[in-house]
Amino acid sequence: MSVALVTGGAGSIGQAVITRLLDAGYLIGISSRDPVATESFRQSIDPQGSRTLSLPRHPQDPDWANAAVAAVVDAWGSIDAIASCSGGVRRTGPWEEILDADWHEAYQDNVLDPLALVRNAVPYMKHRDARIVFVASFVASSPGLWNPHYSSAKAALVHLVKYLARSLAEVQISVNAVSPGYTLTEGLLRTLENSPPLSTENGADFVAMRLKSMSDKMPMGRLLSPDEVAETIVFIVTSSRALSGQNIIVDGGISLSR
Amino acid sequence: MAASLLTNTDMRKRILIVGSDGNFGKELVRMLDGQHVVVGIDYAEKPWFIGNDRGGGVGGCDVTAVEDVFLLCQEIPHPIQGLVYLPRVRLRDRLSEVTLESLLDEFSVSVGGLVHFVQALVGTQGSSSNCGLSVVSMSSVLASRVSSFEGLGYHLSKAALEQLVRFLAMELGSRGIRVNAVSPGWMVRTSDDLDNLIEEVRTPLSRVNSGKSPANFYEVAALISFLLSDASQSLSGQVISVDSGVSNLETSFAAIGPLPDNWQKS
Repeated sequence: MSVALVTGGAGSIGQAVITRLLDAGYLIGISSRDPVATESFRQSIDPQGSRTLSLPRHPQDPDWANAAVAAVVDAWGSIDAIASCSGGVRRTGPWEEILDADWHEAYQDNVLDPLALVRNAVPYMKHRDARIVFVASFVASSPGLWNPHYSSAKAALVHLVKYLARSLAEVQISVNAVSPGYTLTEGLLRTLENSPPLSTENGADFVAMRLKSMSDKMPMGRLLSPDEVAETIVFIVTSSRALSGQNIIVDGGISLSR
Repeated sequence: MAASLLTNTDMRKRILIVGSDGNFGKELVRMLDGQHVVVGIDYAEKPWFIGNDRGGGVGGCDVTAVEDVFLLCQEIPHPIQGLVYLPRVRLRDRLSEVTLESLLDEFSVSVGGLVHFVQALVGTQGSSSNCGLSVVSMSSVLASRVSSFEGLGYHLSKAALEQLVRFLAMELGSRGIRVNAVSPGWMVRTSDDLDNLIEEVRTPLSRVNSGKSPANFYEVAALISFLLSDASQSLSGQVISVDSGVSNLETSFAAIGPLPDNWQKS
């Protein structure tokens, strides 16, 4: 059976990916910063606990990637796929309101953490026709006015994908990114709630106003669902090895009109 | 018309494949047939005709003539939920051989034909039937790289095709119509085909692909199948390269040089 390591296991996209990979017959290591939520999810999809492995991650643990990879390899011997679904930012806003700590956190969570995972996992993925998929964002190539730390970090991640794809081709590892458009996830809601409202926004309704604003910008008139994003991630993981170095934008067409 | 019209069932999509008898088209039909209702339209003798060419365009369809395409689409049972447009590679003109006429010929099939089919499907099916239509065309790594393997017209028409895909996706998105393209590099029928290439082609090809095998027909067909499916319902306006990473390289494809006449051993 093939083995996958999925990060962001407590998030909406991560859980949608895990569910589909389980249906596809994978053994799955689930990395998450919310072990309680992850364990509850894991119990619901794998009551016997025979096909999933919980990889709790302390937010301040610099060795988390090594520990996660070691646990998966100890259990199942190798790794065939990585789906890096963790990331995001705690809050957003115009560039002049983003603090240095926000910038550092954005790059740590969205670039350095995925890189650390790959660095630790590659020795166990070589010559296995393995797949690595990073979740980036459509704002990597179509930035708005609100999240400079997030969009630039995701742009760095997309560039890293291209670099890693070339570097790892000779050991038969494909590397790609999936860049979702506005997707209705719990992470998005948390970020909006943590972001200060503009003076023009009613404090009680500004999250709803922002969600509506996002929906109105989408050609289909709604936000994406995590399932829609997960379908493309799982397609890449389970199919063509000839896909590599690509950034597949799953955004309902919004980036075409920006 | 050399089309096979099958009975539709509620659970499957009706997919129209233009160019279904080409080397790649046959593989695509093989993959989709059974999952979906496949309506295949074959190439005819003249490069811009499809279906049975009985001379003068009668009985066939000139894809460069929008009226012909409309008539063809009206004959096919509706609704059509997928269109795969596989323009035939026509000319390998070197720069010294290129004429304005030859460039226009290439564009009229590769780009104009797709426009006509989209216009015809949107026009004949009505707005209520358009939701869920997925259009997939075939681009090439040579839309953004250069190679002496193919002529100038091919390079230009593929670059234009990719912009057309984005434009159509933007224009038709509000109708629930998705438009995408797949962009292969060198394709082989099966991975075993590599052994059939002469050394002068196989070695530089392997170097360009960083040691990875080129995509085979099955892999490209699988991507098209995904783009036709509801699993990709949020994907539109995208050109997805399935080329073992060739388009990710900074060097141009031209390193391979001209394709020799005897590039296959058998």
